Amino acid sequence: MSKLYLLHHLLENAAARAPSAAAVVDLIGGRRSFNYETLENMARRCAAALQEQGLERGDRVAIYLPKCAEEAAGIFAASIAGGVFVSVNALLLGQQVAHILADCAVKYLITSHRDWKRIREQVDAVPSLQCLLLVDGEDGEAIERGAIHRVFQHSGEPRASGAIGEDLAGILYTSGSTGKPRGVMLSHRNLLAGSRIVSTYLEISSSERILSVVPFSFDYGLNQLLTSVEHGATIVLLHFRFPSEIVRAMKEESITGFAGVPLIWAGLIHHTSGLRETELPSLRYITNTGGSVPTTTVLTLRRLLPTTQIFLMYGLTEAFRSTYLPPSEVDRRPNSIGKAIPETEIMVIGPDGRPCKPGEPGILVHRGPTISLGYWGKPELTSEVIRPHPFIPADQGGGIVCYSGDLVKTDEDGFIYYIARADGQIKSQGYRISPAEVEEVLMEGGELSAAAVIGLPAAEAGEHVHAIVVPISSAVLNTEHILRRCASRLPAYMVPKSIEVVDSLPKTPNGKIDYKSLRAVRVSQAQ
Amino acid sequence: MGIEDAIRQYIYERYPAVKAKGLDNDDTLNGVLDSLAVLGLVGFIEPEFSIQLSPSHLTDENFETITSISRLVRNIKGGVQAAQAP
Repeated sequence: MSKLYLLHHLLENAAARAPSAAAVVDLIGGRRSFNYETLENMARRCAAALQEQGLERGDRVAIYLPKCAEEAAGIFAASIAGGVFVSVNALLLGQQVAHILADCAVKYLITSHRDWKRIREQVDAVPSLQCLLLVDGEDGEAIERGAIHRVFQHSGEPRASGAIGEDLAGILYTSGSTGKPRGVMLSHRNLLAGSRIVSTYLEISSSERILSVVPFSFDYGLNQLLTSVEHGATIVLLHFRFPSEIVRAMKEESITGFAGVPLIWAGLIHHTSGLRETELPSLRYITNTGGSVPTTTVLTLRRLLPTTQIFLMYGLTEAFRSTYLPPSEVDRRPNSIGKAIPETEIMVIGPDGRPCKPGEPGILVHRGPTISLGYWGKPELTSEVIRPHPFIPADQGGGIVCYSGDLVKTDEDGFIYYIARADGQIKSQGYRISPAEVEEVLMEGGELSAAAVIGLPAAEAGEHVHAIVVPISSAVLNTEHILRRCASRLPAYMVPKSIEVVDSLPKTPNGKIDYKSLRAVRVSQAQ
Repeated sequence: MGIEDAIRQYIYERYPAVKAKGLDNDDTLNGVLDSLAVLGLVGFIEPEFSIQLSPSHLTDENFETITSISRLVRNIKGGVQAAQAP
């Protein structure tokens, strides 16, 4: 009887059922195919190395690699060893990586020589970091900290970890409306529920070939890996610069399922993608992540791919997925995010704390098995998001719900529509950006007395980052110098796309920067 | 304004951080312009130079530098004129 309560049980079960089935096809820098037996072996070897290095149950294992088969194996390896994986987006620079590793006291880092060199200067100083596990061999340059080389070829067998399904399995970092990125804690049971639920409504089977371009550090990117492994299907990993590379991979790899952020959808319908000239009879479904897709884009893609099912989804990392719109509703309500995913209840709660009637805006509140365990080391922030059931008391079985911070409304049939964020959080290119994190870098040079960062509407990108700054003296401000600093300190999606110099910033009655009016004025000017 | 300067001006207007660093004709755009930026650039180039790009034109080689993009534009324009010649 096979077990299924820890993350790596998905891989163990798939490898036991069909060891020679293709698990991962890695199209990055050539084409490498890994069957389930090999993938499980890699994960077990890495897990053994982690345990030899003293990993104890619950220790954090960060993975900093561009999307690759080794990253997938590393996620399962952490689970086998009894650790907690922390998947770090390879787009992040040293400063952000150091924040993440220090924030949740990562002890082990799985990376490559090349990637380590990119972040070493900042990450070397993280006190908790004990050991580097490198995917490649020695390259002649000495690396301290007792680095283990070729960790996926390591010899040794892991021992049982004693972990249970309620243990922490992984931490995904995401931004809020304030402060630095926070780590969303996910239990094994959270991740398995997410995989089971999405598999149910997407009807994932063992014949699936899923194209993965979304990073594993995004909840949905990770979910694609888990659903694929749960069903013994194949996940095909791709990096791309031009949308035509996605269409070509769909064709050549007979892809059946695909997920992209709204920008990727825009790329697919662009005439240079080649989609119009390419028959994709295998492509069964397409879905979105990281924000809603503009209606015109949805309808164009419907026309270009008439036999492909379109699943519009909505979710936030704190509760994984919340809603989806069945493909049969897309033509009728292309701007809806649908209804609750299986096993889940969605409520829309108004400012008075009561459930909203159709058409009334309110906060989307989620109840179900994918609600995360909250933010690592941040009980106050957690209690703002994960709260007791609003109507059923705890002593009557109410349990917890997740307040999304997203304003939505429903129609008469109960379908949900996204309106806006209820706070200042910016969403650009599928990334959540905290204004405070950009403002901190703006202020670093000492040229400014104040800075406010807002998101301005930008079609498929969702929003673009706009900086409003107040110089400290009346001398001419070198905004280029400030932007150059941002570009060297922040990943590209966080660098302001425009900068505006003003004499002062509007304040709310309690003396805080009035982001709402800053944004409202500029949005109305743009229209 | 030449093709090179028009493309640079477009990039500078949209990506102030790139302008701040400066971008020469032969500086690599790989890592400077992400896939979104490349699509935006295509949307600029086509009407600006009255050309139509096809999927086969979007390659790393053609979009490596301002010089290589300008060469692509000239080649397509040259091809169109040649095809239209009696």
